[in-house]
This record gives sequence, structure tokens and C-alpha cells, in this order.
Amino acid sequence: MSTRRPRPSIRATLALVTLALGTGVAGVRSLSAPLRADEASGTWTGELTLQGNYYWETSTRVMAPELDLRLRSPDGVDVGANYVVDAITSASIAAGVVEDVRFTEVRHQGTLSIGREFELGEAQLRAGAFGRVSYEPDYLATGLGLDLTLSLFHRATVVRGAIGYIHDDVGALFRGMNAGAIDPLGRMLSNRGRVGDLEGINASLSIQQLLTPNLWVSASYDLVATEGYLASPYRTVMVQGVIVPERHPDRRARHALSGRLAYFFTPTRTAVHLLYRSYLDDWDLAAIDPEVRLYQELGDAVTLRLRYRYYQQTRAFFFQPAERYLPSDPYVSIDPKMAAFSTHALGFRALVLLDFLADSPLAFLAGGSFDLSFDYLFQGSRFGDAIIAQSGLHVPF
Amino acid sequence: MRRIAISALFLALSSGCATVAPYERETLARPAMNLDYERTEAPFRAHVHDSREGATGGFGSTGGGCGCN
Repeated sequence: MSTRRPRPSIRATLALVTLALGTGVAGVRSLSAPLRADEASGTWTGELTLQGNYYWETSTRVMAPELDLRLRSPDGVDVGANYVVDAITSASIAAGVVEDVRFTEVRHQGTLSIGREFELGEAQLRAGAFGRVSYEPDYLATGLGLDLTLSLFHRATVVRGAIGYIHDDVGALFRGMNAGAIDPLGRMLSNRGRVGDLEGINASLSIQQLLTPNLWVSASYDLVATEGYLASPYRTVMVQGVIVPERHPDRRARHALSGRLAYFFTPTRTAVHLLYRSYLDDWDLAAIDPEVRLYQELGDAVTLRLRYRYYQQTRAFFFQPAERYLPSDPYVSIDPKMAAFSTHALGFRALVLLDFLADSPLAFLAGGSFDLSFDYLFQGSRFGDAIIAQSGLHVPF
Repeated sequence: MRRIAISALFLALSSGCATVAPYERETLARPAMNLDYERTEAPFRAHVHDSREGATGGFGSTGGGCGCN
């Protein structure tokens, strides 16, 4: 099996995309006018969100509490801060290693963003910047980005572009019986040091359009181009009786095209969202990802959501059963994400608006909301089935 | 797929003149139509997908930077 194929320079690709897009991604959000501070009183306003995230599968548990703060000034400046902690408990068999060892890691991630909206006649232009740091004992990821958002036709059309730069330092820790041992000089004996780094560019262009008072559509294109260490230092492959480290190509260009349509049926107070994503990268991994979401309002306070998502992908060009690899193969992998598989996901969410608390001792929560969601993933990959549970409390001020 | 995407983009751009007036947008501000109500739940779900599936990106959010390669 051929595992090597020519491809254009990633730097040339990055330069072209950078020129073409000019600016980077922010994500498709609502077309409603952004919340603005009270210009009459000159006070800032904002929203505080406390979020709980939980993930479970046979070999892995993740607890991830999250704090999110957004502030807006009367003159159009917005500031955002987000902090999340991932506490990951996993049997390393989940990462595909030969020896199974249970371990726990904690990841800290902080994100800061700032932006300002300018009036351009009947249009509005928001310019923003963001930075992110993610730290765990064996991985440091940093990212910076810029984004531009142009709103037209009284915000009926919103076009966003963004570009970001990422740099990751990849390390490795010994996860065996003596993991975490400290020598007399205070050095952690299980730290095997840095094994590589990774650089890349994220870019995105999106458009959202109101079509009628009950209908909007959006479309977006995303690019993630990376170069550097793209394997896992914890995965090894048994190649004809010899254990060798996982070897992946050191470049990857990933493209995603997505769309969403949302329609509200007024008589029944029901909304339907249709989502679709198609993905392709230069490792020949292709995926499709259709999803349908059904929303139902119950009274003025409660909105229920049901979702079904289907995901299917092909295998990367170098992926094959481990027993077929030869010592001369340039790439070897047992990464479950490189195999062909499909996943079905079913989810439920309840959102409660807290306006009914206005006349209670909890009046400070009025204007906010609380949500609870649960998703079951029927994963066809080696990871097995999984559960995602989330809850959030949103408090405006 | 490419034809569908181009058609959707053309439809969206060409309808820009058919503005929905601000006073007609009450429905669009409802939780069922306003993505701000899903803003904080989406990143964790995308993170899970990025670490368990080969694809990434889409819907204006790009992955990366988490050690889940």
C-alpha cells in the first residue's frame, strides 16, 4: 500500500488563504442586535455564565467546569473572558497504547477577547482580537486571532471573517507504575520532556442572512492548516513484532463547509433547524455531518430541544489494520480517529428563562436562563458509546 | 455538494435587499431561533467531537490547540 503522496507546500497554501480571507473567524451567532450597554447612564452591562460539562465513555471521564464573562461598554466596546478546567480520567488504552494504565490529567484553558463596533452609515463593522492559552502537564497550546464582522441591511446580513495563529508545544509524561515520582533534586522523573511542536493557522468566513421574519440561513467555510508534530507520543504500533512510535504526516490542511437553516412555525411555536457539514483534508479523510434540531416552546419560560446527528468519515490514506504495516512504511497509526466509522447522536435539552423570578428574593437572576442537556453518542469507533451532559446558568447584569 | 453550497451562498447574498425590518424580528429573538442561547454549550461539544472524530471545524468554529490530535 502506498503511504506517501506529493502535496503542495503548506506555507504557500497558508499565504494564499491568508490573502484571500484577510481576516478570521468568530462563529455564526444570532442576527439580533448585540446587547449594548445603557448609553443614557453610561454604565457597562454584561453576562456571567457558570457552565458544567461532563463526558463519559467506557475508558474516559471528563469533568469540565467553566466560567464565562462578557462585558459591553456604552460606546460599543465588548470584552470577553473564559476559563475552563478539564479534569480527565482515562485508561490509556483509550489513546491506543499497548499497555493499559489509568491516569488523571488536568487541563487549564483561558481565553480573552476584545472588540469594538463602528457605525459605517447604515452598516456596522466590528473589529476584534482574541488570545487563548491551554496548559496541561504534557501540552501547551497558544493561539491568537483577529476577526471582522460586517452587518448590513439593519443586521439582516452578517458577514464574518477571522484568522488565527496557533503554536503548540508537545511533551510526554511516563504513565506507568511510578508516574509522578520526584527525585532528590525535585525533578519529576516521569517527565520525558518535549517531543515536538506544532504551528498552524485557523481561518474562517461565514455569512448569516435573514430571509423572512421566521427564517434564517447561514453558511461558513473553515480552514485549519497545521505543520509539525501531529501524532501522539502515547500511541505505539506493533509492526511485525516490534513496537514502534506512531508516525503521522507532519502537515495537514483541513477544510469544512457548513450550512444551517432555521425556521419557526408560529402556530405551534415550534422551530426546526437543519444543519449540514462536509469535511475534507489532505490525509484523504472525508466526513459528512447532517443534523436536525427540533425546538418546542412550552409557555413563555421553557424551550425544549431534541437533536439527532449523524456522522460518517472515511479512513486516512495511511491508516490500516496494525498487522498490515511494514517496517518500511513511512506512516503507522492506530489512532481510532483515522479509521472509517460512523456515529449517531441523540440529544435532549431544556432551557428555562428565569424572568418569573423578578418578584422573588432571586430577582437578580431575572433576565437570565438555566439549561440542562443530555446527549447519547452511539460511536462506531473503538472509543465506544459516550454521554455528554451539560448545564448552564446565565446571569445578566 | 459544491453546487449546493454555491446556490445557498447566492441565495443568501441576493436576498440581502429583501430586508426583514427590525420590528419584524420578534420571532428571531426567541430562544429557539437565537443562537446566543447556545453560545456557551457549543464549544465543549465541539471539543468532544474534535477529540473523537477525524473532522474539525464547521459552523464558524475551528478546532485545534488542545492536545487532542
